[in-house]
Amino acid sequence: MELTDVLFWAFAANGVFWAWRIFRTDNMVRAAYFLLISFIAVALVLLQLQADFLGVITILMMTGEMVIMALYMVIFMANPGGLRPMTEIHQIWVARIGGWAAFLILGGVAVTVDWPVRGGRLPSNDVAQIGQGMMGPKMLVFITAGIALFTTMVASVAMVLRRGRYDRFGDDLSGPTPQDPPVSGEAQP
Amino acid sequence: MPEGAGPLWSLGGLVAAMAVLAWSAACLDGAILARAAGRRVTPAIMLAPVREAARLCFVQRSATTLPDSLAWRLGVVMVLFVPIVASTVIPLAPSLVVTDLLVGAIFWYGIHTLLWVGVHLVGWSANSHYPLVGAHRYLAQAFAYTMVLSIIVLVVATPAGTFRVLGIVERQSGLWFAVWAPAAFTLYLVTVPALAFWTPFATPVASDLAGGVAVELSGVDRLVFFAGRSMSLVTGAAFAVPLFLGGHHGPFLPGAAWIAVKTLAVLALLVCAGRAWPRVPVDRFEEVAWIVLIPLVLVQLFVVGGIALLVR
Repeated sequence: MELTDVLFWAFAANGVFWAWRIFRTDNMVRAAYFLLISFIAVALVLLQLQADFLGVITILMMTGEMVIMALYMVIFMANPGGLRPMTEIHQIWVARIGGWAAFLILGGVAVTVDWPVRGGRLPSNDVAQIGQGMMGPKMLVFITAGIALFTTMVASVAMVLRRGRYDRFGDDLSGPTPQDPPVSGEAQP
Repeated sequence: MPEGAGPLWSLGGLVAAMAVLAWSAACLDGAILARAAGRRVTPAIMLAPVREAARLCFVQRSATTLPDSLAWRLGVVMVLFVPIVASTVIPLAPSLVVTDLLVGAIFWYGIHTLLWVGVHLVGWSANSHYPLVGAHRYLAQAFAYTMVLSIIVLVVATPAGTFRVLGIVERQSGLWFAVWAPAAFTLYLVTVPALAFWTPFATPVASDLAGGVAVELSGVDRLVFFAGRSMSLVTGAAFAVPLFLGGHHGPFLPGAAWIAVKTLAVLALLVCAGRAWPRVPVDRFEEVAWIVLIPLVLVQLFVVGGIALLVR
């Protein structure tokens, strides 16, 4: 076993171990950060595959997502501060069957497929290659997905927004300063 | 994984340089505060950060009721180590980088995002109110600056044609990007103190929350946390040099000296501006960032991209 193999198995084992811990913890914030550790382990495997851009972007995006998830869990939890234990699992049998099925199918694919051997050399600039892939032949797919995601975000924000700009600046948006409730929150609508 | 790595001593040099820069930022900050309080500024002020650090090393740590101790320590350690890891892509001399990555600029920005986890863990794990509120303030601030900062990285990478930090420096052998993209440079200088929750963006650790995230920190934890905050400001100042100020390029002096001079200048500017500006409330910064700063930096991106296309 070379050093690369040792590192790969270490990253892979961490990815699986922390994914398992997510379901054994009694705390939502810890669950979110265990998931982050698992994702970072996957990102390190990507870096090992010399997919630098994808590896770094995975760390960046997953950190942002997991922090936001932990933040909103603390905000919405009936459990002040979020440090007291609570059950984190539900629909145990559906989850067990679905999880094992997904694991066996994907693992079976990974083991049984006749993977191609890498031909040619590594691209000197994988960022440019990804960019050309996304904005070249696959442009329609990515633009459509991008617009769909963006529409979803705008729509969901518009649906949950209690006070929009018309509440803040008046019906003709002519108010000089926004009419906001006091920051301390005692006068929330 | 790395396209090239510097010799091992370069990592030691980087950490030592960052520690010295963090100490000088603390000295300058102390001098400004002393003058504002009407006291005389003497050379003894340079010993004050060292004395405070030594004191914190020997103070007994206080505890809270039922904290998540492991996550608490982990968060404190992350606040120190994340900026150090992020700054390994910053060139120390004309061709000396600790890790020379093709995606170096994104690496700096992406790894620094882990600081959010560190600060949130410190605020959350203490099982105390004010640290949690402080952590939420920091995250709100983070969601305000992060889009601006990520587009700033694109503004610089577009004319350079690469995210590799040495490539970005090479592209500025003629004209600095600070001149090409003045709005992006100015906004970078705004986002760095926001990222490092340094004054005037220090509301996560502000006195109106009795110290915010850091209320319950004592002893060596407090030392590591605030050293990490200074390191974040330092790495932000140091990264402005390859991004906007032409890196090692400059007449007469050797390249490494130019990097040191420029880094010190940016750091001094940030520390002085931090004490000259009134405290920025998070909600107001959030609104200004999304309504003014992001459109502004997007316009800057289109202008720079257009020029880059024409010049090519």
